Amino acid sequence: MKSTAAVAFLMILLPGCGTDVSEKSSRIPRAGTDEVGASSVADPALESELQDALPASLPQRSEDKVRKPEQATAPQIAKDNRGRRPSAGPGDSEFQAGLDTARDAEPTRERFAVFVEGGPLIVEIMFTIDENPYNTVRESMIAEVLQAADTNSDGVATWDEVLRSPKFEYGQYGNIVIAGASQSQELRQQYDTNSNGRLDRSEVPRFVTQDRGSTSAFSLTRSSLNAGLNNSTSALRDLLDTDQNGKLTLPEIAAAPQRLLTRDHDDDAMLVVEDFRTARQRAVGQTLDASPRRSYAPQSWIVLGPQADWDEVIYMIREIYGVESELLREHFRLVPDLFSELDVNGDELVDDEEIENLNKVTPAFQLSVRFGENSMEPAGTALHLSYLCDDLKRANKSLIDLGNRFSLQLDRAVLTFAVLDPFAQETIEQQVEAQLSTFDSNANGWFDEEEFAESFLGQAVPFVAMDVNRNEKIDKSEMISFLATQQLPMRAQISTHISDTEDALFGSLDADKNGRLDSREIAMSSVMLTTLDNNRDGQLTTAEIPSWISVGFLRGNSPTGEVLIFNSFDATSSPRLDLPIWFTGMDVNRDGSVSFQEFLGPETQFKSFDQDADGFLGSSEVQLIAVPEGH
Amino acid sequence: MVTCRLILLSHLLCWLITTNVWSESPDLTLALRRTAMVKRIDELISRRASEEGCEPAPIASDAEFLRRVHLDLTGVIPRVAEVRRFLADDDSNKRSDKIDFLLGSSRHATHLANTWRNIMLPSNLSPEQLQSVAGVQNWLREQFIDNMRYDRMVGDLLVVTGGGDSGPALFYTAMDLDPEKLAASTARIFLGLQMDCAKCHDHPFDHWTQSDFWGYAAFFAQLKQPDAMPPGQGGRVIDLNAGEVMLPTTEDVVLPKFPNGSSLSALENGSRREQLAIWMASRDNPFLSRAVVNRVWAHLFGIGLVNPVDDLRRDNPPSHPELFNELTSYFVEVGFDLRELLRTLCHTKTYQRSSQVRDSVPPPTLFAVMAIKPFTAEQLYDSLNRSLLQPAKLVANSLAVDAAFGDQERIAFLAKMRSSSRDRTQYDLGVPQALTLMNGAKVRDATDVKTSKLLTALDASLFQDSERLNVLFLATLSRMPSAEEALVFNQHIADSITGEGKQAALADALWALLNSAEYVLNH
Repeated sequence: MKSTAAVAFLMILLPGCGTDVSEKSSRIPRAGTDEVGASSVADPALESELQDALPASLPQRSEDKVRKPEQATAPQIAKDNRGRRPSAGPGDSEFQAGLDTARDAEPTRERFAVFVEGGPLIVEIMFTIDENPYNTVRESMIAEVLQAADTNSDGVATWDEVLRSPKFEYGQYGNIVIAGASQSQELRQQYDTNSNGRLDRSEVPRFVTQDRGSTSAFSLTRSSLNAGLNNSTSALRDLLDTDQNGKLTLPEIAAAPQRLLTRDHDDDAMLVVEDFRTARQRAVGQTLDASPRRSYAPQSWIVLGPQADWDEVIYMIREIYGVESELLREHFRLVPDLFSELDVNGDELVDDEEIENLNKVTPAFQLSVRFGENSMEPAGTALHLSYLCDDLKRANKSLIDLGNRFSLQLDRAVLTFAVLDPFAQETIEQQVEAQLSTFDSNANGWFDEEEFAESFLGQAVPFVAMDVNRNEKIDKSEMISFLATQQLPMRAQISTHISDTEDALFGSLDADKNGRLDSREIAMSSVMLTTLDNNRDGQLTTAEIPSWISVGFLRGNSPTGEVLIFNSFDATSSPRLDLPIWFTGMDVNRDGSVSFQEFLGPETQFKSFDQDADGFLGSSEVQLIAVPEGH
Repeated sequence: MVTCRLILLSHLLCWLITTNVWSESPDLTLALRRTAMVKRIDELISRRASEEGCEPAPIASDAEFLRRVHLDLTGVIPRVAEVRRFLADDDSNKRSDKIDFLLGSSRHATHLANTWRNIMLPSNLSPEQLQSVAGVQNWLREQFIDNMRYDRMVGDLLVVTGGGDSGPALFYTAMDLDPEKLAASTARIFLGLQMDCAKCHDHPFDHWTQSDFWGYAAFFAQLKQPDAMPPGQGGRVIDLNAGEVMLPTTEDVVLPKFPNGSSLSALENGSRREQLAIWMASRDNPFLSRAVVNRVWAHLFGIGLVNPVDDLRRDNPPSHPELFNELTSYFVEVGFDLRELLRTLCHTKTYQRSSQVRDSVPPPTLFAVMAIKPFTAEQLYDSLNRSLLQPAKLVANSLAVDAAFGDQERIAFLAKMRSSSRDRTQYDLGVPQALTLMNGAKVRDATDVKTSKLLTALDASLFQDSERLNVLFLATLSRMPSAEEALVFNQHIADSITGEGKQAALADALWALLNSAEYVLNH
């Protein structure tokens, strides 16, 4: 995961990395990722008024009975050099009040529906950042930006102030660097969406995240055209289908392990999704992802809750489940209890009005997602499944929980939920240390201009931006301070990506759902493919491959978030303390077992340990190995 | 009489059915042809050696062969388990089976892609261009996985448009789409011709004229990069209908002309690159097959039948003209099949001879003794990883399909250890490179008892000291220690009484083995 974090941080250090020009210069949501949850209010002026009327979710202080300018209402949550809010000290009473309010606030429950065969699955999530409800953290960030923008302290932050302020000049808040009058004008046109000259609350997120942030706290993005159809676009299936007749025949199924290994580039008997995409498929995939969504394509999800667009929800559900018919119980065969809850009048039909009960029904899943420095501790608490409905308990074949990722295997679909929080893996101080250890060539603990220019930081930020005290050197504290401010918006930014472009057959062969096919899974691939052949005709058709839908929760809203989550998830086994260290040493690919290829001793010794003769030493076999005395 | 004929006919049919000779005949034919070619190669090599009064080296030991064939076909030394199994196997056909296994492995495709990428791309790529290297690597690897006919592969490369991570157009953009550079480069790589000497004047040692060179360069005169690129399609190359080259310092337009002297017909359709691709794969082109046969020979034997490998001019004759001609014909007959060419060469006694000589070293061009090839930088890094049980580092980048390919540590190591020599038999690394190996972070960590995965694995209560030493030798030199070596090393280990001391002694032994000359040589 370290390398995953490194890439994520590189994107943060190099604003604009991974985005194209159109992202920066247009207010249109990023191509290929349809944002919903963004304000649906058409009139920008009205939107601004609504934002003012409903500012932060934090209660206002008692002395704020008279309506004050918006930027003064939300409490400022300061941060330490880790980008976290520090514990309160003496004299922090105002700050502490805000903190307590934030901590005590009930986290907002967000809700969306995922459409799988057999009925919609309702997902309810609670997000926290450093144990605070995520929306309050975001409001605090907005408040801090507004306060910084209000350079004349008159209580109103205007775009004139922002564009002239040295506090924003070098992109200190993650914003685009402000260079010259013409760019100021361009930025004003781009981000002052209601053209009222004021920096409104709703305008802050997009400005400080360079368009990657949503105007609303909760948003979903998607990245495909082929909702529910990914079983027909499996690159892995294409690889196995050697005669290219669209079906996997018995000889092709039997040859699967050998064929899979042709994609094992580094010969470590571990395969990831990307190993199966050919150059052509990568090119086509990127073109599709970058294309605007076709309006008539069914989606695999839709946002519920207060932001729900009920016309669209009703349209989607009818389009997917009740084409040319009423919505009957048979359309909800995976979730019969949900049907009963929706069918309030008991007429065995779900009408349009009853669909709107989706906001009230018992969810299929309740999840809590914890972002923050301690979210991985204790292990496995970053993503917690707190409730699973009876419908799914009955239908579930297996639920695999990997701590920050879990998967549910249903008859016709594999669902994966994953969390990626790059900020939890490396503190700002550690980032600075890494820069210094690499680029501080004379090891004096600070950067001169030449050293800085060679560092990753120096490629993104001019020397003067960080040399705040103008002493011709950039020390650790200056870097920490700069990065803490620059990363503030991204640290408060959460996004949810739903992807149905994953390789469906890969999802089915990946028995432990850890995002990799290890040597055992490769060896067992023929057996797994045979079990998918529902009609036992000796051929595996695309219709028999369960679809794979992945839901990723990401802090930082990287434009390649979905890639980071699903393609680079490092789910290799952590060393187990109950196993002998020789086992950990020999398990080169860290898949939790030692294959014959990995074993260092004589073959006869391996065979004597491999009790089930499957060619692997598993943890249970290792624990049975008797150690000769005197060794 | 008729009855007899019917009986004979039925017997013949039965034999055909039971032996399945109809369905197997192409393979059988190929196998017979290969056997004949193998025999012929050995015959011609031996004859020449004999003429020179040179006695060929004996056949290499199993361990020597196994290490060599792993390095040549997959770019990395074998694992401990693979060496153990191969050495214990008493099947007389095991070398042949191993060659087939390695040629079908994923790692073989990766190794050939690495090799060809290094041949194709200049070493001074800009940071922006480096991001597109994955496109070249992935494309090449896919060709080698599918064992694409070589003439087809070159033809496809010549008309490629996709860049970025989705195609090998970097081959063009790395040379700025400059017709002059592209002509010189493609001629050298694919035709074995150093035509660029005719750039400014007629070739001093060959028959190429200045107009020959510029006529060939004209095939690359109508290329450009699109002004607008869709996301992810960066680095694309497109063909135009306009664009010409002129003789230097003149305004004389030179029209396209193939290196065999024929001109491009005005009636032919397609872009100039497409026309070149068609000619490249045609029987009118005598250069393509000769160039690649020489390159593949050099890949296995360290030097080519013609040297330098990309200089097949008339006055630079091959060391074995008859062999070169016959091998080239064979390659064409088997359908420009690179894998089959490698398989055939690996089966020869010439390839399987030892690199050890008792007396004086015969001239390398006799191929009477196997050449000793220093590791390439890639072979060294990947073999170190294999010896030390280090997995390739996962890179969070969907574009870097090969995890090792995007490993920053690997990239830095390769930059430092890359040889500038085109002669595979020359060891030209200097002091910094040697120090990197001796004291660099990678070797230091891997030989530290606290951080070394190999030493951790050896801490197993499963092994006795002598077996630990065997593992160290198998993991590094791909062989068991000799009796003399075992005595010296075991004495060193035995001198350490405590457990910690023993681990430190094993770490010393590992460090010494990694820094031995034998480790960094493919012998």
